[in-house]
Amino acid sequence: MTAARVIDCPNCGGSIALKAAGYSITVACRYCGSELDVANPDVRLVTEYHRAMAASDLPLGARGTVGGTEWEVIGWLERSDDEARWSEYLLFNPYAGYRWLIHADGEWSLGTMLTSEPVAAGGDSVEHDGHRFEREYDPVSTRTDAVVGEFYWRVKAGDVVEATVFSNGGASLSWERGPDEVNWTQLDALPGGSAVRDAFVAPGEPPAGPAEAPRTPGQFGRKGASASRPRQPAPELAPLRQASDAEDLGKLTGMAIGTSFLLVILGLVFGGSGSAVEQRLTVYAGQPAQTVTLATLTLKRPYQAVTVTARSDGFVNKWVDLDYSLVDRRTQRSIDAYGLMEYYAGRDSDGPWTEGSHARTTKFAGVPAGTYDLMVDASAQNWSNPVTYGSAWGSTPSSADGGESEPIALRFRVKPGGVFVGNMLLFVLLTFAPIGIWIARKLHGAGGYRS
Amino acid sequence: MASLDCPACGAEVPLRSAAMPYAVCGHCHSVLLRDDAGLSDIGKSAVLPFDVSPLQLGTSGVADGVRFDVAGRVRWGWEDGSWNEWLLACGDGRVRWLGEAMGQYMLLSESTDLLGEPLLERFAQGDAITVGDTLAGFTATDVKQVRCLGGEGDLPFPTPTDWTMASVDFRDAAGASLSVQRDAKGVSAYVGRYLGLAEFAPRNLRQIDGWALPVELR
Repeated sequence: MTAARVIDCPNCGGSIALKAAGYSITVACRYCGSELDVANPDVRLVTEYHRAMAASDLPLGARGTVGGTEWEVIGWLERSDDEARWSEYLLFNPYAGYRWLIHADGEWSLGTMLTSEPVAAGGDSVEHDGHRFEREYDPVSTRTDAVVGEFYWRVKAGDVVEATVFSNGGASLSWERGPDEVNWTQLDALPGGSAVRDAFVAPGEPPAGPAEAPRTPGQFGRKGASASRPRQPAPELAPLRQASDAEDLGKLTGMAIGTSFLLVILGLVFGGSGSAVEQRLTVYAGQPAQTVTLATLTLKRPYQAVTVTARSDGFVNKWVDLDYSLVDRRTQRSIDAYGLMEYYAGRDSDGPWTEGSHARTTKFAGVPAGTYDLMVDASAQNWSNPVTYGSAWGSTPSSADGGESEPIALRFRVKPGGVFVGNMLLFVLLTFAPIGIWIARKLHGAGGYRS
Repeated sequence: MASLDCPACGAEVPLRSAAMPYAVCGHCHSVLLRDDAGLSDIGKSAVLPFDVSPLQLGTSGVADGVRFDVAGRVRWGWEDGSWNEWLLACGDGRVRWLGEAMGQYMLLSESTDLLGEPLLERFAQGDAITVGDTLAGFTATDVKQVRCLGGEGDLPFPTPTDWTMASVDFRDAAGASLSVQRDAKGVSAYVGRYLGLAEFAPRNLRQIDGWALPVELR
């Protein structure tokens, strides 16, 4: 079902997608700033404006994950009192409701509306949830100076409320009294610097990330060697020809070692980041596939790898198909990958044998920044040995009589980042290739002299 | 699920909660009275305006340790907005309501315990309740004149759009809530508490484009 109701601004005609239809009451048009009444099906102009909207740090529509929940910025207020001016962003998720992001004096905090009433506790303090909060200052008039986006109450520029803050050192409670209501909001500090800005990614824009991060997805391309053309340090190698042979070999080798080292370091730096998430799943051979969400990942780098390692123990003569989907929450687009875990054992004329492994690592490469759900569709099958070497040799019992209901416990470990050993090996080989060529040429040349 | 045919349009009207005398046809929005003779058409309900609520008819969950199914919805509007009240058909045979406003949820069931309180007796005689009034540990936080915008599913009453009432929400310090309503028939009180969506372990929530259902709500 669709998530938005689209309205046209009666003033400028701009199309506005209501993100919280049914909850939103006021929309301040993001194009012309006019304030619209959307409480009722017919959109009504409240205040007409013709001005460019002020730029805010977080654009409307930007999404980010705070406290484990994905939020979309749907509204922005600029407010001030006698001493300060600050921004408040309204966040919305249809499954989690509303939160506030308050940006004042370079510091960010997350605001959550209280559903229980703090109780006056004598003097200038209140008690809430077993904690005592002291009032920081006398209530002051707080004015809303600018509005953009949609809100669940009837907001307009020029609104004035009385407001103050109660605090107990760590947490604080904001108190606001309007003409006919009192609102309490719990404020929790968020990391400073650019952490919040980096966490929110505007729709259709490349995510914020370290400037030196690799921009080419090909570097850890999923298609392997054909997609990932390693950048040869050719310019540096060219001038070496002028040097003596012994120096050449030494320099070439030194350079190759240096380059390999650099590549490994680069791989580790850009490939490895984030902490691992573990998840368990039990599957039964011959049963329908089971789907489970392994992890929700917020990836901040422009491009990075995601590594999933599946492990099990004990099963014999079975294989487990692991179909992974990494689903971008914003676009619902999926990146798919496949892993096969198989382990067979038996006995033939040469004696007992085993094949396969109880672990399988699968990697996603070049995953753009965003919030993803990683799902796995896991199913197990019994391998029945079609070839019987006669009763004298036999096969292992489990391959013959199925063991259909025997559980296979799978443990998954998901980690953002991860170095592609195959790619790294290729890099290293190609880096050393000039030395091989050099040696081959020298040998060929020497042969030439001899003839 | 058992069903009857809508006498107005012939569409199937599922019987979600047999204890409810009224049902709104999901196809033609006729309000249907259910009695021994079957269904009879008693009028039209307004088409509910689009909203992004994660709840829908058929959502199930657990409230007070009892399994429920969402069987009906009434949407109420006031001057500056609107909210949903979802009817929960519960495994213990009782009816509970889940109020949904501003992304917050109130689980409520009707109670007559507080109707004898002086504040509510005066309210029943026509006096107003104002924000800040207190009652049995509750504080009035929200006073509104509301109008029924329509309904869907199975309901204990028809939902005519000329139905208006005074609605007052109270809260206490521990997250309990009290909702008091006064219409032409008198005063009723509903008590319960605020809770988060995950706390009633919902299943079959509405899929909303562009948003992933949180893992704990799947």
